Amino acid sequence: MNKSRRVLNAAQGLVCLLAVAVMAVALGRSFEDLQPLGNLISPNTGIWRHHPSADPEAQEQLQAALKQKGIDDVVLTFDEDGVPHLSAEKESSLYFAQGFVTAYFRLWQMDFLSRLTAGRAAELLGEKALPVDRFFRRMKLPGAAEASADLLLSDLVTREAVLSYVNGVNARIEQIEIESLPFEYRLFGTHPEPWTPERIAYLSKYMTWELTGYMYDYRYTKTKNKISGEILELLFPRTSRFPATILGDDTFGKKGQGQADLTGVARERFFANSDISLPPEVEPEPHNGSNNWAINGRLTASGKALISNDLHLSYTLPALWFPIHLTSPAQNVFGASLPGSPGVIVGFNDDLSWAVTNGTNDVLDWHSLRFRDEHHREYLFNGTWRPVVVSEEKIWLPDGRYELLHTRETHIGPILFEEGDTKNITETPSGLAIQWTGLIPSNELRTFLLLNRAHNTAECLDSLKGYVAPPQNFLCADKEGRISYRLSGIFPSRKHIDGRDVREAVGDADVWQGYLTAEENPQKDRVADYIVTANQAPFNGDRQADFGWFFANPYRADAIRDLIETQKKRGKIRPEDVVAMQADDINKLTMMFHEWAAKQVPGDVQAADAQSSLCWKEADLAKWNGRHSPDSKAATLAYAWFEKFESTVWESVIGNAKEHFWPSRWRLMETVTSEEATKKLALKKPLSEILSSSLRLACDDLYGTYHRLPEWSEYQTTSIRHTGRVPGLGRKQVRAGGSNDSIFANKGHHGPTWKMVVSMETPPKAWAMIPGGKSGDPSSPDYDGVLNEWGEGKMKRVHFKPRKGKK
Amino acid sequence: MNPRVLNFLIASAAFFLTAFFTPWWGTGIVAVAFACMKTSSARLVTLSALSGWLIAIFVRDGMNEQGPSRILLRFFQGAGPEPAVLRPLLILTVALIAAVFAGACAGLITSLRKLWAGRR
Repeated sequence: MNKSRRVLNAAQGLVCLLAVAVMAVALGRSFEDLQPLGNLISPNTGIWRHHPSADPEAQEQLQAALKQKGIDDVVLTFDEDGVPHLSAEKESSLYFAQGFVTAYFRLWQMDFLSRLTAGRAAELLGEKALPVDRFFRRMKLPGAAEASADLLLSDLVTREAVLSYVNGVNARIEQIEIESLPFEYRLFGTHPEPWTPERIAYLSKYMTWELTGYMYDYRYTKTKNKISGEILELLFPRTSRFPATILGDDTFGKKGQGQADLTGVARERFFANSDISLPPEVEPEPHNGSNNWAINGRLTASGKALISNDLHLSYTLPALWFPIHLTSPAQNVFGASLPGSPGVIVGFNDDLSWAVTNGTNDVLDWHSLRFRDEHHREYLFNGTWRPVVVSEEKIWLPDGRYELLHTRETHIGPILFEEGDTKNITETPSGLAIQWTGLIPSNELRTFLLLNRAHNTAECLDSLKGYVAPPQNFLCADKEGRISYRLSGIFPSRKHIDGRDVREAVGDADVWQGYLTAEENPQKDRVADYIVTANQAPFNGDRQADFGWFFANPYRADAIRDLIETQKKRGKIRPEDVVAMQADDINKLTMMFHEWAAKQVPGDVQAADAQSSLCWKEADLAKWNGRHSPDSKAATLAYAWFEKFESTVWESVIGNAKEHFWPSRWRLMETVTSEEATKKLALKKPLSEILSSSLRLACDDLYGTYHRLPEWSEYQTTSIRHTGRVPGLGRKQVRAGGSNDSIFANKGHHGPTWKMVVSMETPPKAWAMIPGGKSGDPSSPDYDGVLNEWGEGKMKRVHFKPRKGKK
Repeated sequence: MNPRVLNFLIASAAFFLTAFFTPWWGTGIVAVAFACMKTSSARLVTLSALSGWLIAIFVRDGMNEQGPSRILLRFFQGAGPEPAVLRPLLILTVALIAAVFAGACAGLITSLRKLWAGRR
């Protein structure tokens, strides 16, 4: 070989060596918290894998795997909708199989949600989850969940179910091969962790946070400090007289509420220059709520009670709920289970069905503290300086790094925000402590497992004893036709405080005085006709304030009642009628608003400029029936107009919505439709002028954005995000109608996550629907499942087999 | 059968199995192993790694409605349309990365072999 050839070979070798080195480094590196590129693209460890759906092959595999684990008394079948039906001789086998099958489909989701509440989401998602982790750790949610896990294990009702379920999940985790790991693990290069009773408790606390973590007190206090006492009383009376409460007027006695004012010190110290905001990822959706109603058999075609429920929560993919049918000698229950937790949360059995809605109660208060100095190590309470307990915690990241976090706790509750959290809070020496019923160690699972096997409404009400949080409106209907209602949960006793505002806590009188007794909670047994709950106030009267002050608008409840009354006039009510009611997209608020507003706005204003005129004509509001159907243009204009009107009024009277608390939309309509009340607001312009300008603004915005009047489903786009908000794993632009105050309460990113109608015949007839599929793996055909049908408001008939002897 | 074609088929099968059952760097080891054979060349290794990886990814992906290639595109794209052509393109790109890596490993060994042979 000549020299030049050797040089060429050496050069080639060098280039190849360089290429190998560069590629090895690149393939071994992580980008954007994903797992190393080489692992990511590898057909062995990477994302290239197709997850099986609930098909006969999966059924056989799972059945064989259960047998291999020594669980041979379980029969697993999937129905034509892919819903698993599990039947077992022993309770322990049933819950083991439930854990195993749920983990097969939803392992990443349950792992993520429990780690989220534990303040460990960054272990799965990397640095971007750090704000959320800091928040939950400062809230002391992990400690509350761990104490709750002890209760799960010390209670005979929950102990066996929890341990068996945990074993089932862990059996699946042990069995799983790397190439079978759910997509998200392979994307981020992470691994599941063994399931424990604590992780079940985390999930329960997660739901409690979602449904009660409303931090309105701060914005309310800013509002209170800004507006006059007369307007405050007009817009935020301590109790309101709602047109459609759950139980009507107060039958629960009267009680004097102390309403001590904010001390000047607290006001000055805390509110002078603070601007607190939660990480957007953890702020509970303000519209979290639900609809449920039960109709007595006297009014139904079958002569049996009917129950309906839809749970309004933030949409996620995988779907939040996992439908399942569990059968054993002790129970035969179908319904929505929470992945990661045993049993069924909402559903029915042969004898009883139950449904829940959020009570929308105020069970969280903020307190400002008087610290000794800027170090926040001691605070004054009952005349003595008490120490702040400081803990040091590590938040781990997927690559083994960690962030050190200091959390602070007082005897009142944890201190949520500290110096450095926001640019403004660093200027104030005050911190805030939180009192929240969600931090009480509790065992809600007991209630649900007892409900799973309850036979009648008496047993249903018994199951609710000891239920702590989140407060829920429980409705039960049994096959004998009895219907019962109870607002279940623990409520603080605020003897000397308002509960709506942030005040300085320097003694016992400034904080909660224990809790109300369970007997004080609103309830009604043996409902004669029907009962409707839609997060509205439970009743009108003095004691309303004990349970809250930011109840939902009464429009949904009112609409449901209207439909039931209409059906009553037509004849006996069939379950199919109730299924159709759930898809009703009429919004009584926007309907009422546009009817009222159109009368206030002179015709020439409607046609003030070419664009407004075109917009008005295109919407043709005069012919609108109030429906927020996907193709309605009138709904778009009515809603956009209302929103502009609302913001114009409240921004002039109160201030912007980010910093202030605006009254409910129902209160707005009550106020502006009353001449006397409107006068008190002292608006700068007459209402007709505000309405005209709001209409013009709405049209300008709509035409500016869409260059035409968009259909409702374009204006309110319905999108489903991934549980961990991983881009691309959600689903955009689902065609769906509905609105905030419609029975079909779709708000685009939030709405019905579990829909159910049950007729308590023998055997029960039921319909159900979730926004998504059964599988939690984005690479499964059953991941987003029946989203389109869900968007159309459809429901699927449930395949429910009664137990032997129940036909 | 033409020995070159036979070599290509054997190497493709080896890369397919490697991609399917070993971590990504397994491809490098197989490439080195093939490059050590006298009948082999860097070009052959590159082409067979490309075909082996292509088949492995297609088998894993399924190329149907919910195939991971589509999910991955969505992940990187966020919003917007998902042109059908992008999916095979994505798979081809990934297979090309693997092929270039295998080719570089093989090229390095081939050069060393030639240098060694030249010295003797």
